[in-house]
Amino acid sequence: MPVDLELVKEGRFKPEPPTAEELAAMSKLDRVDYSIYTMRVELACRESREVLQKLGISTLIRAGDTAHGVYTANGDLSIAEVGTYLHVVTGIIPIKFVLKHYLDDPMVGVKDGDIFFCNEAVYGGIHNPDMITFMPIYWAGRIIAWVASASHEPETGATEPGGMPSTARSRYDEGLKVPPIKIGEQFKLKSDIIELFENNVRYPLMMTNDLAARVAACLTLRKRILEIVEKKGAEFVLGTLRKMIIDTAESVKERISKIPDGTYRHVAFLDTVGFGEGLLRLPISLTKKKDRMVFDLTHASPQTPGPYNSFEHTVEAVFASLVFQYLLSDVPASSGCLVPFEFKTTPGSCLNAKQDAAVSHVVYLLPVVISALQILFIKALYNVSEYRKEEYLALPLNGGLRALGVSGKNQWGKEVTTHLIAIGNSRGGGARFSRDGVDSAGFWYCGYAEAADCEQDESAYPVLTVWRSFTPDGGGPGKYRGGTGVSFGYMIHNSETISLTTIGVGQRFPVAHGVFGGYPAGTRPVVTVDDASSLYSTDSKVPTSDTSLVRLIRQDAGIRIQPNSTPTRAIRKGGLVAQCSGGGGGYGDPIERDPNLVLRDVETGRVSKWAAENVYMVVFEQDGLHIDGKATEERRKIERLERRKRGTPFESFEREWNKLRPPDTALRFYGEWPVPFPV
Amino acid sequence: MNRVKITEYLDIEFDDESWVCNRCGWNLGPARENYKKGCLVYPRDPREVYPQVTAADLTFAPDPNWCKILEYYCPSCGIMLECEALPPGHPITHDLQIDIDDLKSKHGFSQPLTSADASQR
Ligand SMILES: [Zn+2]
Repeated sequence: MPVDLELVKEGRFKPEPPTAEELAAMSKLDRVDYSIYTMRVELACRESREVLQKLGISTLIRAGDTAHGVYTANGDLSIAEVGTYLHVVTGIIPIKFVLKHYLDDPMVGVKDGDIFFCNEAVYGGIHNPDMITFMPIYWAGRIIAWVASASHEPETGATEPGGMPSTARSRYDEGLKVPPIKIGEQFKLKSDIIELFENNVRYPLMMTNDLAARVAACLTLRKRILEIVEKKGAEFVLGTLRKMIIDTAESVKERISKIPDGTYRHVAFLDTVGFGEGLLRLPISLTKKKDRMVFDLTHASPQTPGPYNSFEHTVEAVFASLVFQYLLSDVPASSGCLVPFEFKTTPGSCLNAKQDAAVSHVVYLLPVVISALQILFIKALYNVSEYRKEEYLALPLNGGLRALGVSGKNQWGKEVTTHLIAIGNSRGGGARFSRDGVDSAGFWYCGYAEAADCEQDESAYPVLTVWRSFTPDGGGPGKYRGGTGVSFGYMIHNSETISLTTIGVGQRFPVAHGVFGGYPAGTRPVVTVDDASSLYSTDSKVPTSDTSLVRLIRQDAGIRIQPNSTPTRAIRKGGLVAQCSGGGGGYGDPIERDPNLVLRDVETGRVSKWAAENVYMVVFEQDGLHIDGKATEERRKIERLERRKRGTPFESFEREWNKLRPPDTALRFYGEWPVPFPV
Repeated sequence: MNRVKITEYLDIEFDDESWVCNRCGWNLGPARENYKKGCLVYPRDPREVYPQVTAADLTFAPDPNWCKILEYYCPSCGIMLECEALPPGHPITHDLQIDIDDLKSKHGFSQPLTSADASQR
């Protein structure tokens, strides 16, 4: 069957109009009951998350990068609970696909106890490591709701281990891709399907275990929903699930209608397409009128020849996971959140790629786009006094995602493949209206996610954590600085050779931008050393961060300083790899930062003395341990004078600036140079 | 004086519809145009903001051939009102294009336009 394009075009995550039956059910809802049982459903989602997190093997499941949702009978998302909301947003289309194409198909059909699966981006998913399991809930012979449990599995049988090959050139390099399919009946998984899945991946045990764990999570959620049906009736559940969606939509419209009408613009850039470096432009303009917003993304770079591509619907799904955590954290995370928004993309661009495109790094591409959107929200919200507080005027967690994968025989002789997820889940937080960003804040997609303990990584995988440390100067400088992010060092241990994969962005161009004069967070490469064992077997000074590694290592030890996305290669016992999670952007002019906060940052290693003196413009006393307040004030006054001397009036500046151009090597994937903003 | 806050450093004055630096009161030009036109601009080499760790191709600081940080200063007090990271020569972003009439009405300043007002706008 050809892909049903009607289901994946822009706007298909939006809820459908309520049915007559749902409207009737909503009119009978008691306000108090509704609010109690909305919470009850939310808690049920949370319980099923606990089930998955405790039963799963994938490092991402264990860290909480999961999602659980309840959908209406026709597949609109009513509520999702903590974790990576994105996963359940992308359950909407697979459910609708099953209803549209299989419900009345006698060779497939839908029955009570059926279990479905999907990990195919073309059919409404994200990329194939993101796997969703979903089930209908039947009552009195008909479907009254759906439940889903989703998680990221760091192995898909792609051309490189880990499910996100940097070298992918098309969808056919990315491994197992399954459209919506029935994988179980009568509440049990089918053995032939399990065999098929296991046969396609490098870590079959994880695949099957986590599949079963997601089914257990779905069954838990289903059971709780049925308990509510038994107590309050099916009509009550139908009305409640629809009302959640309508309430979210009303709430988001009300919130955005307070923002001044206008057009707000930002442009972000990426510096890689996976197999090679190059700039991608990602301009966004947000036009707000009354209670609607249009996001114009039509001038993004062309579809890339690597895996940094997105389908049209994925942009919308990632946006939903932003608003759930940011603007709407206090209302049900339902598909109602998307009602006021419209997205415009250009077919053939990296944000609206063709079906055969490689898309496995879409999860690295889109946080950069949606982080820029959050900056637009900050600029649009500032004028509204009730939003002028840190919850709303908060820069995102670092969205220049990075990951480190290992694959091979572990110390127990078992074949394993994983991502060491702590790097993903310890992003620096963005600075806020009245305070600094959190130094190790969580995962961009999932504020709830935890950085796995060293022991958890070391017990299952052949690595030794040689350091975890906050990255000095990792956060964007500002009146309030971005969180620093964390530097990780792993040594290959107890295994002769393993495959090492590093993924990510942000070694030449900053991706976590600041606002109102706050600087972006800096850039960071990956550092590997072929044999670092001598560093840790002597009494000499031991590196505790990537920067100290670069300073201490002997040049003949085989050191490589590389882009974050680097194709898989073998690394031997004693080899070392260092990668940073990345910091958040800064807020406000750094020379307005309280000098005492700068001192504290220097004392705690969050900011270098160099940056304290040269960026924050503080002056230390002779002892180097205290700030000279008077001299600092004077130094900052001089800086303001110097700025007025070195700054050029806008028009003459722009005339000269527009003549410049980056080197051709930077523009090989960029498309036409330059493309101005849509007007 | 009928001012509203737009950003950390920028207000809009309704009386003459202008951008104003809220640290020093300097008029940065018409509120219906890009406030950056009233600023001084400086293209910062990113290596002056982020320390370089090595002389290798990837120094740990952003690559100055790929990235400059444009800093926008108030010409009167020298505060950095905004900055943006752009590849050299990339068009400057007109980030705030606010509907001033809607802004006025949201803050209770909506009077019907006289023809004299309209011709000035
Ligand atoms: Zn000023």
